[in-house]
Amino acid sequence: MLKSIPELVNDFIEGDDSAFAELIRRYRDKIYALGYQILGSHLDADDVVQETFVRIYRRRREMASVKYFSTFLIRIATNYSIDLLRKRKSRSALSDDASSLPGHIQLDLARGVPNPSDTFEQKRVMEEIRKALDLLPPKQRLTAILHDIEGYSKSEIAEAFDCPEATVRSNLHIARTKLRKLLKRRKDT
Amino acid sequence: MTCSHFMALLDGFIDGEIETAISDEMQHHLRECNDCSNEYASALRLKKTLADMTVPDPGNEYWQETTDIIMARTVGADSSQPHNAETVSDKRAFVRSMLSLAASLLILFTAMLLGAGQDGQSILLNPPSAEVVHPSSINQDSVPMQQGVFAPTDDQTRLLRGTLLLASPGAPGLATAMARMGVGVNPTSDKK
Repeated sequence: MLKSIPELVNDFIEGDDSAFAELIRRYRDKIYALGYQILGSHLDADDVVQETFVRIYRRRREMASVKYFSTFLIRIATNYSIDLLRKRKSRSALSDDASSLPGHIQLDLARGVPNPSDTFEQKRVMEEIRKALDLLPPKQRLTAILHDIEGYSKSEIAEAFDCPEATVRSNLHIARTKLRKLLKRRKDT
Repeated sequence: MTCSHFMALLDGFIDGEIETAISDEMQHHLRECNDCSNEYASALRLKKTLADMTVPDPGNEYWQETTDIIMARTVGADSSQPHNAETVSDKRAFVRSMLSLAASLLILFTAMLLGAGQDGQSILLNPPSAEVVHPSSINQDSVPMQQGVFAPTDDQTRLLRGTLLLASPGAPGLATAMARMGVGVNPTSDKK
């Protein structure tokens, strides 16, 4: 029988390394997706995954006072992603990253593209949105990514950012409005 | 419902967080207002596009490798380096303390042997050839003491004992030997 997240977290705090491995298995794809959406590349997303879990491990004693493991994880991942954004002025595109990967992982990446209806037009629109997202301030950008792309609730985001839910709503409203305007402007030009 | 009221509630509307009664009002407004209807369509399209922004799956092999790397950087590092360092440190501390104890015991034992081996004679304080003069006789008429016997006053004896006890690890041995020899002790003074 699968253990619940609170049970795993408790075991992890008490020094059970297999519980830590299980937590990695359950959350690694979400953290990867978050890192990928924020930073836009496989290598950066991989960096976010590794560093997030390494930091979680080092802070295991703090975990006892953490209410929700997932939001604690998001906070660490987003903070690290923001650090990376600040450090790296330029960001490489996915194709560049893929070319630097070992062959078998490139193959997996190619196999992993899941959506067969990923048409040229859709790709173009997504690229436009990604560019528009890049123009937003970090908090608005992260709120839009977490809520509208990754599907986290407003209360989860508020918990992760340690701010009121009203702030999340406000950031989301501003981000969406800006994105709509940016996309409309690009479409017009 | 006004357009500004509609726009203020638009986010909640597309997220499905608006109460039914207000939601009905918004639906009604949508049917009547082209501008708000366009804004609503645009917001809905953006939300759908964002939700469709999938991330390519890096594959099982990547996940396995990444998990292994994380475990090596955390659990592996924890179980190898710090624990080993701790064990080595503990062993060194134990060896150091044992050497220290052995050295102390050796010094003490040697001192006791040396002290006991004098058999009633003190090489330092009472050489057979030396003629010791009582300190009190310096300013008085000199009264030579019995030759070869060091006979200090009670105060000097107490001072000597205290000094020896507070001295090096060999001091107790020396003190014992001296007491046994009766050197520096006035036999009559203790009985007073």
